[in-house]
Amino acid sequence: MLQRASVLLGLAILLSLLFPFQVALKEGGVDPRAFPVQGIDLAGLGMLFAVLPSTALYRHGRLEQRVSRWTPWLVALSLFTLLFVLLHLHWTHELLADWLREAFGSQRQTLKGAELVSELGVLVCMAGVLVNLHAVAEAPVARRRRKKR
Amino acid sequence: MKRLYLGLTLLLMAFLASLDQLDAVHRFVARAGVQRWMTELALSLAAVAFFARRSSLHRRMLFPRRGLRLLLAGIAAYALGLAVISGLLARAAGLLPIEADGPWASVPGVLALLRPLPLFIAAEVLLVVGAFRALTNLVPPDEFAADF
Repeated sequence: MLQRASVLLGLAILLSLLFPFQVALKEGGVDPRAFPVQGIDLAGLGMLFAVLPSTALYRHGRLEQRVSRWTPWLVALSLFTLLFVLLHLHWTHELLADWLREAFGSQRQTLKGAELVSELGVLVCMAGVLVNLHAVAEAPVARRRRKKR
Repeated sequence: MKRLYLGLTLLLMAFLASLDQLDAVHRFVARAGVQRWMTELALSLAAVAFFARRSSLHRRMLFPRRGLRLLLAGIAAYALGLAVISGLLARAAGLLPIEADGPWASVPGVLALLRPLPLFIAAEVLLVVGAFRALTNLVPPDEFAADF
């Protein structure tokens, strides 16, 4: 379950970063900064929108059967995915910002760095997961019994 | 394989373009006259070459190949988008000897309606699906290690 969620969210994050939907919103006359959604920022919203196409890709590639056990790539993907989600939910972002301000005195550069690390981490780990998939076990071919003459 | 390499490079360039944190790098190299797309292209080419070498992509791709036609369509759509954004398409349409009453008279008008953003989005959809199909059609790593 956790493996499936990590791969699905990882794919969704990657798809949301590949498509310039902020530019598409601007061309459509919508100000991306004025998006009226509570609790999540635009990058997080993009990830949520990308869950549906990532589910389609997940099923198309039969990833559920081919990602069967925890590998280092999958563990790293789940951690980077979790970091991305935490950075783009408002309340966890505020918690992190407050902690960094108290611990280090500045939080903006560190948060920007953490965002970059999470995005690059998802990209690298997703590529690692995809090139290390197991083969799909083919269903046995049903054989017709020969009639005895 | 060239289609896969080019498709992965274009996708990685789109990914790097979405990273705001690289703006400082772009501003730094802009002093030497290097444009943003040149930096993204150089980084993408290096990263894809490293990835292809490390994962032995060319030796692990199964037959029949999957996703390569989608990659070709995506590359063609991307090239069309570049032609629209650079004005090449409009200039090429102007050079064609089209008669005002002929069957091709509406072609320049249709070409003028093309916008680059939908073409780039369509190109990215095709490249994503094509690259995904190609990368999920490889010899599993344990079988590859046993054979080589």
